Amino acid sequence: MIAVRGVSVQFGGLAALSDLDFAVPRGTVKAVIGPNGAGKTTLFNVISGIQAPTSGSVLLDGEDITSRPPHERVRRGLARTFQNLQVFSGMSVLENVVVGMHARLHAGVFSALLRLPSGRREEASARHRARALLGRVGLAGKADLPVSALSFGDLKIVEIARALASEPTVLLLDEPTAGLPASEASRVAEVIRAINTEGVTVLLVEHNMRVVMSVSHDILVLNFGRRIAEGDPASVRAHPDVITAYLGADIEAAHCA
Amino acid sequence: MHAQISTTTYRALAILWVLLIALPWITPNNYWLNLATLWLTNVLLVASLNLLMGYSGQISLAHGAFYGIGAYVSGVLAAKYGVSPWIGLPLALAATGLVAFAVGWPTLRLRGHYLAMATLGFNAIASVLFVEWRDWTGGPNGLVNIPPYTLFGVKLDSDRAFYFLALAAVGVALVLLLNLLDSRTGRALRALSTAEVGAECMGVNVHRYKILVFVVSAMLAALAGCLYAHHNAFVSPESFDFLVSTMLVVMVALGGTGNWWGAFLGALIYTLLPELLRSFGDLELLVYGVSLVVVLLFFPRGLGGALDLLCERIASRFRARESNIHAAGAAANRARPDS
Amino acid sequence: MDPSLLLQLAFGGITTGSIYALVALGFNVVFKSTDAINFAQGEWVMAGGMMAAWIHQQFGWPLLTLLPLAVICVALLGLVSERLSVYPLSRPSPMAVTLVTIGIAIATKAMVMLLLGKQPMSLPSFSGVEPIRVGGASLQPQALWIVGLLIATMVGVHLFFERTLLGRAMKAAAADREAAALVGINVARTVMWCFVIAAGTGALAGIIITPITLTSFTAGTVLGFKGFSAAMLGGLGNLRGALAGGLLLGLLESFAAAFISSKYKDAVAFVVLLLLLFFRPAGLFGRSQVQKI
Repeated sequence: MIAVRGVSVQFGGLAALSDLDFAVPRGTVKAVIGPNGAGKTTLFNVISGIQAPTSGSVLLDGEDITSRPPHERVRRGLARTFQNLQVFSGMSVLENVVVGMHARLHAGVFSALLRLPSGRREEASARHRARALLGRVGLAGKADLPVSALSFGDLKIVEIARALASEPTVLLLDEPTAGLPASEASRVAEVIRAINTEGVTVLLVEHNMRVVMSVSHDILVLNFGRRIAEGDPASVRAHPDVITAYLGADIEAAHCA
Repeated sequence: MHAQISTTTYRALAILWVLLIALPWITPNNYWLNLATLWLTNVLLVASLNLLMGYSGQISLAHGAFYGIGAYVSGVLAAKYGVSPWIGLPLALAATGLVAFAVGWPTLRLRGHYLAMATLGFNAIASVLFVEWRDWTGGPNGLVNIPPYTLFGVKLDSDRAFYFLALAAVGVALVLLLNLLDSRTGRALRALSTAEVGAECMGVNVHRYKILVFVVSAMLAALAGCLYAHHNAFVSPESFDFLVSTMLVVMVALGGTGNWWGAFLGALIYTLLPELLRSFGDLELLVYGVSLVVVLLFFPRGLGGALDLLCERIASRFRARESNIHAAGAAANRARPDS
Repeated sequence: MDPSLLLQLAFGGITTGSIYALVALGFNVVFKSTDAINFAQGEWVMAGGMMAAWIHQQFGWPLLTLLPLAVICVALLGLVSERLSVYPLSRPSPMAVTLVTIGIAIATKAMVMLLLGKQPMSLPSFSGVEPIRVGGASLQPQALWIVGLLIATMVGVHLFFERTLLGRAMKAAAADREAAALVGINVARTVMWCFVIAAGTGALAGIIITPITLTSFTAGTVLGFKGFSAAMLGGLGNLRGALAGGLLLGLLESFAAAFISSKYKDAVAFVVLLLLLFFRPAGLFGRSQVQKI
């Protein structure tokens, strides 16, 4: 469904990603884990189109989208959230979510200038759908608040609702539970599972292992921009290289002893 | 930072326009009427730059030039080729739009000060051309004998007639602008000006929208230029130079960048300042410079922002009073014995 | 093509180019520390020249006294301007600082007009007016002073930023305000020093060029504009860029005036600027900014 072939990203002398190859089968949830600096967010930036790879390609449903700008990828069904938030300040929560629908709405400049009724109708129905989406993620009560009034954790959920607003087939979630207390984190996990049940393919970067283990079908482990393990949660958990990457070689030796 | 456009904005604009329609019968003499006409043109000019600065975070140092292109294209077509100003208007807007597109398309791809730089260069070039293309523009001495607009054979050259023309033109332009801002397009603009990457990843073609804002902004400035040319009957290059462009940026900031009513206030300052300073004689320039610094220091959100704060404070006091009344009423109800 | 003509044009271009480079230098110093465009730079150049010319006219003091006196006066002006207008800013964003410098520019121009008069003034050339003949072209001795000063100032500023503690602190503050503050650098102070240096070097430039170009209270605007353009051409914030941008602009103007048209020379220079922007947006030496997500 979403595939990455031979992707490398070089920042001067630093190789953020080296010859990365993997795929996310349609309708599954794949988690990308790895120590800080492993290249996870760079990977997301390449897939969503903000960062051009030094080499390699990105495929969405078999189509090569490597040269497509981010906004076109959204139209093709790719949506994402951000680790450090890219919420639109100065707008309400509801409006943020409606922006997510931008690619699915059609009213253009002409319709805007003349306030054509078709445009107004489209706006009204968009707001209605956005409110429903916020209801699904449990933020219905806060829909009309300015985003500056919400906590970091709530804003992460707003971003998820906003990404869902574009009716994606593939959803990239960049640390969706970062900054959330355990109860909220499990709520997000619920939301992810619900989204996936509806058929959306999910690729997520996560540090919270409980969430990773509970929602993922498949895990990819990165370190220093390379894949060091890939597979179902159980096998990845026991993988020696993974343990070494997170905990260091001595612990690994102790674990196996 | 942006104007939150709502039905209140439309209503307030309508009320303002009704008051403005009554102005000719309120003012003691034509001096004030002419000043009001100048203010209206300046509102359009400042609003055009405010759109760009407020909704795309970019600075243009060429709005003086766009103002000038509008004025010269319409003026030259009318004065030298006898083209009706009503036809000159769309032509001037189209010409300016095209030029803005050419300047903006390559530069708006880049993040940073690049539009400021490109527009700086562009204004410099335009200034040279306004002077050197003498056969058309009349050179440094300016273009003369620009005919006024005519409606049904009547020349709109009296102060009152032109005032109403300006009122109508600026009113229509501002309503169209409001419509644009209160739409999917306006929302995309607000998104890209606060979190550009986020907007791009939500499907907003940021590059295309930045160009749209720039071109619309330039065309609004050109419209102001057309009005100016056919009212003043004369235009000269110094009205459109780099200094004018810089002052417009200052006026947008003084009014409050991105603040809808800020454009009206900035235009007011821009229009009244020369009149106010005249009485200072030689000290005029000094007072100007110092006042600028003082306003910038004490009103970081511009005068429009200060006005917003004031309105907010009044509104919250009303809300407090209302809740006090409610509380008192509730307490009274509780104290009443059951009948 | 007469080689001595080309040489003459080159001399002229390098002379004016050096002037632009000196002004651009001041822009870059302020830009480095505040990310703002200092609209007052041209006025400080003008103020230095005017101050020196006025003192010379009133008191007839020798150059060796005039120079440091005028430079110190204008540097003080820069300091006071910064303390009164930039320092009190509650949110010193680049935009806010840029706008404030516009106010400073206007006020400075006004003060010079009020205190030193509206008449154009001049200074005698530092080492006489006898042109030096080189390869069939003639060079004014003052031009050598200008180029010499440019090199000396560039070296001086470079050494300041690389070798002195204050200079390195300023660089740090320019790179990351918060981090610099966290290591104990008084960021507001570094901004103040930037303004002082910009004003001082600007004044110095103004004094050196006054013998060639008359100065008056209106001279600052065009100089500032050209200096800013040169700074952009070379890459804002980049000291080498100021040199390259200034020289390039000067040479472009000189050759365009001769081979295309003296009326259109400004337009030609800016067309080149625009083309450069489209193909090398960071300027000749600048580095394009990367935003981290």
